[in-house]
Amino acid sequence: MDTPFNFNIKNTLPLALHKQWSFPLFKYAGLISQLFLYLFTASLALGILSIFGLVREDTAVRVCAFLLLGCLVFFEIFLFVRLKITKAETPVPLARALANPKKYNLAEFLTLPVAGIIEKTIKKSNKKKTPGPSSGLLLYTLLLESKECQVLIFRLGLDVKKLQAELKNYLEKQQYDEEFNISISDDFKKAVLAAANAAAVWQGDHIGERELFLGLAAHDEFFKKVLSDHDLKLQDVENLTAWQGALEKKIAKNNEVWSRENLATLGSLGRDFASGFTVTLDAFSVDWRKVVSRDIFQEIVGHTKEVEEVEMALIESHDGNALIVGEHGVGRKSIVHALARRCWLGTGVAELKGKRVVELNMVALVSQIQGQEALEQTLDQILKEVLAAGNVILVVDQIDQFIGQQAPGIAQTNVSAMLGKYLAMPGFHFVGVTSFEDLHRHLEQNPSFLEMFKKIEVEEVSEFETIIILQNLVPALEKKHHILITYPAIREIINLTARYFPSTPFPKKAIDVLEESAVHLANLKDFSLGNRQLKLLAPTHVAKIISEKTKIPVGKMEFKEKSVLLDLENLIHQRIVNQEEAVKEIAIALRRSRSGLGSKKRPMGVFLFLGPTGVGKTETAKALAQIYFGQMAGHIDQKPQDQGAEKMIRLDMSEFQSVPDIVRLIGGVVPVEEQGLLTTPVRENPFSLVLLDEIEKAHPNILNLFLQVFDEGSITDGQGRKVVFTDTIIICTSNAGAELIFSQTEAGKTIEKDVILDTLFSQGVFKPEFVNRFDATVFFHPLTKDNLIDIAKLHLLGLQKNLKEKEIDFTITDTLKEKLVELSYRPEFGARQMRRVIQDKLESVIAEALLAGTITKGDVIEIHPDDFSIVKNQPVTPE
Amino acid sequence: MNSKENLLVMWLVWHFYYMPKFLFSIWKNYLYFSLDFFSAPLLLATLFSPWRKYRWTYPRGFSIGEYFNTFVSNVFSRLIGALCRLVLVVLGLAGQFLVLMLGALALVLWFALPLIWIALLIILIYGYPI
Repeated sequence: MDTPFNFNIKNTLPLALHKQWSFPLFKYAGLISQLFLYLFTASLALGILSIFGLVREDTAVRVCAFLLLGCLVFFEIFLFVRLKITKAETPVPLARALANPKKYNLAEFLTLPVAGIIEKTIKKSNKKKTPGPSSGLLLYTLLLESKECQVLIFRLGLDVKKLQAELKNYLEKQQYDEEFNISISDDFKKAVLAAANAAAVWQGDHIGERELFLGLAAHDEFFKKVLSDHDLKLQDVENLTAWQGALEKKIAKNNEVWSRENLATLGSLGRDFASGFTVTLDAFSVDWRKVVSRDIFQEIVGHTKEVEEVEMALIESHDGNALIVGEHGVGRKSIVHALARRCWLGTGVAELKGKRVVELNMVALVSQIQGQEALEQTLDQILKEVLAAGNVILVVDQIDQFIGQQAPGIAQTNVSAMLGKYLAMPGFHFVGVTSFEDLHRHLEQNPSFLEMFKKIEVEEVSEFETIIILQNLVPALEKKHHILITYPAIREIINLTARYFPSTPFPKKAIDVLEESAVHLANLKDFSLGNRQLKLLAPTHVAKIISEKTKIPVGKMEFKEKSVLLDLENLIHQRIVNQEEAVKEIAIALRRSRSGLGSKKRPMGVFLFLGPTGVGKTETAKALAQIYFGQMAGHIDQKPQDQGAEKMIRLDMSEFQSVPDIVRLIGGVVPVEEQGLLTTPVRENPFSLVLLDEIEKAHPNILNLFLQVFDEGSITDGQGRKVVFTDTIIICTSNAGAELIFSQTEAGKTIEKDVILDTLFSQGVFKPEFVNRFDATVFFHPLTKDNLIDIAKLHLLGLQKNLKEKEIDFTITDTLKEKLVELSYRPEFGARQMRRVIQDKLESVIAEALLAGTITKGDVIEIHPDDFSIVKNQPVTPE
Repeated sequence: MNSKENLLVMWLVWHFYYMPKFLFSIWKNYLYFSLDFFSAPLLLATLFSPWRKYRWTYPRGFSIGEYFNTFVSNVFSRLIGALCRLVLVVLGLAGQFLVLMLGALALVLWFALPLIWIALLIILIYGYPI
């Protein structure tokens, strides 16, 4: 340790105060004082009895005096301990002490409980006769004594009792190990120093239990290992301890009923007497003041700058109107909530103090008032009342819906003209809320109306602010659903929603997932609860919810998926003959992606399959879709066998040979709204395989679209939505270069990939920058006769399986297979000819026999290879 | 100075300096609160404003009867407003006075607390009447 460490707990004020505070008369002074008070109140009856002579006056007075004295004395002690002893000031600020470690004893900066914990640790260490107290022993004592730290452990998703037991074993094992003796006190020092630094950063002057917990998380080897085993980082512990600290400060602040902020929450009785009635407005609106006064301690996180901008806009002498613009889900309403809160509490600008923030419910207005004239009159009346009242800030959500001629229900009413008349008046305060899209589409068509507003753009809150927002929601959710929400679950929500919902902003997506996860956990039957009363919301629950929403297997890989990934080549080869290189490339890419090593931005894998027709390019893609995507979808409660087709998005690129076909691919809005054939299926089913057949036939401009998809993993569709391809595999197939492949194969050479690619580039079939973006360009070999025999076997096995369902046994002979190959072997057609031969020679014959009743249940049949006749119950031997 | 003496000094400073300072700040908060709660300054400033800004507009043209009607209605509105506001102003002043008295009493009692203990102790030992 380089930093000098001045730490001696003996004779320090915190320890002395702790010893005194621990004395029961001081510790329970509050309770004792209450007891005396109740007894004193009861003893006043003695006074009444003494008037009637039933009790001696002197006795009554002495008893009352004694009880009152006891009450007052213990109340004084209680206040002294609570307000002074437990908050004893430090000799200097902690930051100064840390800057001069030699001069100041760090032990003077401990809180009383921590002083007690360290004293106990030292005593235990002396008892065990170790050279000095270790950080492990300190952690053990902290976990035993500190309820606060036990809660922190709980919130981290760890088991307190299990941790204590493991730590005890670790310590018992450690003390027999000589070589640890030297480093033991070093960890202790580091932990205390880290705790002191944390306290100084949090602008406290005391090293408390939370700070010590954080210091130990940073420097105790046992604790570090425990955190690492549970995928917890030091940053998580920091965030959690900061959260706990903030929560405690909030509770303490709320309990200070004498503080000016808390008194302000009681509002005002007479303020409304100075303003006008708003009878009509009240019938069609929500007064945010009532909402805020019910939930006064719920602070709004983030958007402070935006709230201040809205206030500044509203107090302008003319055009004091604000337009809040932001995407759905960024928290535009929370700005209105914050504004209402500041007006209610008087914590904002003075001009807005006491103003009512009232949101007009235009939908209710339109639905309840029949007739255009009546509607206009009512609206005008409302606006007059707002102006006359003088203390109203009118809010209209989705203001764009009511501007211009397109609004349903008020089609002929031009709200903008009516509203515009009032917006220009001083004393009329208006806040409109809209989105960017609606602003451009509707409001910008009316520039004179828009001029009367000051536009305030609302940005998405940061991930850190979202964590705080979720933490603020946690107490209410825990109470409602009787669950406990761990910090790792909150962190997982942030991570997963950021990754899998890129087009929805924070905090909405995170809040939605948190609420769904809480409901899901509350309804889950957990038989592992045992004695524990509360269910714990863990990251696995969050991953399950996200998987169900996105149909992507998120979170840790389950055993089934791991076994599929490790054996993927063999599984695919059960359907595909030959083409080992292609299968291997795909399997490697998938394993890389799912283990978390692949790029999180790009698609899982992007491949170009080149080869002659009928050699298995498309079949390989189909096999992969069924085996991987279909089975993985099966783990989120869908039928695996049926998922192969749904999990593959197949496009024949020969249908996109002109530039206007781009709209068919990615969608558009002009002249009519059209969904994209590529983007919409991927958006709805992001975890899938995209197969682009005959890619070379697509228009070059369309191929350029894919450059972005392959690199960035996303594209914007015709509706302006971002479509993400990070969970897809993209396979492009092409017959380009088939002649070259044939010629090289027939000459007995191995396929020279560079030669073929150079030829394709020179012919202009593909551009180098396009081919460069593929993870692998895989060449499919022409099929040999041996390959075709295997393919014939696969087809015949399929036929055998179908006949088995009809309880007919079909025997496959080698001679039959050879005959099929003999009839269908055409290298230029690949395996497709085989398919046709089987259909013509076998399936047609069997179908006719089944319909005629020639073969029935229980029969064992063979097909004669010479004439393809059906032979029943006898093996056929060739002549 | 040992820890016992330290504690006694700490208590004395706390009882006669820090606590009265704290009680004074609470007293100040409650004084501000009662002023704000009843909104007395605002109500006094708008004492004769029409009640809830309810006013009638004077008719166009020249009709003495209607003009007089409107005038009387507006005067009534102001009188009602003034009455309602005055009630609240009076309540506010009473509340303020109460807070003032209670605050002063609390401070006095706090300073006198050690004397009260001594008095109670004497009564306990010697009985009543002493």
